Amino acid sequence: MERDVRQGTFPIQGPSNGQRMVEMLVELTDAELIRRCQENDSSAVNELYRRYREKVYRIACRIVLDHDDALDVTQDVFIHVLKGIAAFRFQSSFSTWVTRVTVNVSIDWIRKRRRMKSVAFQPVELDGVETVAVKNDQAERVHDAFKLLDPEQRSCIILREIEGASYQEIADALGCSIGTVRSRIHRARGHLKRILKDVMVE
Amino acid sequence: MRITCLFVRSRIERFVDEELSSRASESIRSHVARCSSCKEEVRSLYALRRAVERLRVPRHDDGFWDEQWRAIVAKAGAPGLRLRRLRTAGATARRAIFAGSLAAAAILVVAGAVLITAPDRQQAQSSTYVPYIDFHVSTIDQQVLMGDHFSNAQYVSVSYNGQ
Repeated sequence: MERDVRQGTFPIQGPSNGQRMVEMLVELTDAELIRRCQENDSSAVNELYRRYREKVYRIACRIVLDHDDALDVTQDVFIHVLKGIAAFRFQSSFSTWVTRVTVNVSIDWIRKRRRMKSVAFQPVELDGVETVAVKNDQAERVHDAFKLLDPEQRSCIILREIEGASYQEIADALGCSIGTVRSRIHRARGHLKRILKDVMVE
Repeated sequence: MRITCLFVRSRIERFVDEELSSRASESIRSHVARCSSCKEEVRSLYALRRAVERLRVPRHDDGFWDEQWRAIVAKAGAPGLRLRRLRTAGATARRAIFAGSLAAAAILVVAGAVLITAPDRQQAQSSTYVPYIDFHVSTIDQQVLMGDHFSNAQYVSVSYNGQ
């Protein structure tokens, strides 16, 4: 066998077809992957999932503020993606579309949860500030402060401060104007600054 | 040009978010470097960003995500099949809508036709009496003629008035 290899007549085992395909898919752009998805290429769908699963989960986690709920939201988002990708018309980037679906599914999830609990949304009040201030763990306090924001403000501030999206990208993702985005971010910052004053000093 | 704190405050968030033009950013940066209260405002916005970044998101390994993907595929159906099925479902829905509108249009046409032809049918129904009338008239005609009370011209007038 060694002789065959040296003579070049024995087939040297390289990467499998599957591996080569994965390597090839990694190099494709989102748009190319979507076109493949539209031709019923399931490995392209898998690659899109691999690229966006953590981003979707990250955004969902910070909007719904519950890790288990965020996993359910992530599943729902990708079910939406599977359903909608055949009709995707490239009018926006895939990233913008996924972000929009994530934000919408997350906000729907919060509203559904509220209806189930039959608790109406309570806007930020000073009582909430005191409750939050008692907690020691900073991350937990930030978490509780976010709970006091309405879902739209929460979505805007997360996309801006954590995902680093521009106002235009947020407006595209949320389907609203830049002015609305700016005012939501401004109000969210105002509330958070009041609530997290001591956390911000440290 | 010297700018005021009021001017800076109205743009300070956009400055921190890098949403201003480079010229506007530069003028605000130079003001912030001199003004302690505006500098404090910028500092608080960056501090808030750092605080927001403390929101924890657990990290998961590839195995966990693969498991999630299997659950997603199980809920939505196999990806390839799902896309085909969705296209078919869309076509079926379009066909159903088309068939429904066709049926509705057919019902409207039939209803319209019924309404339009109703007076004609009434007329047609009345025209069925004509032979009877004719027969009746002819009977009267015979009676009248036999009785010899009226002339033919008078009979015609009387019998039609009677109808």
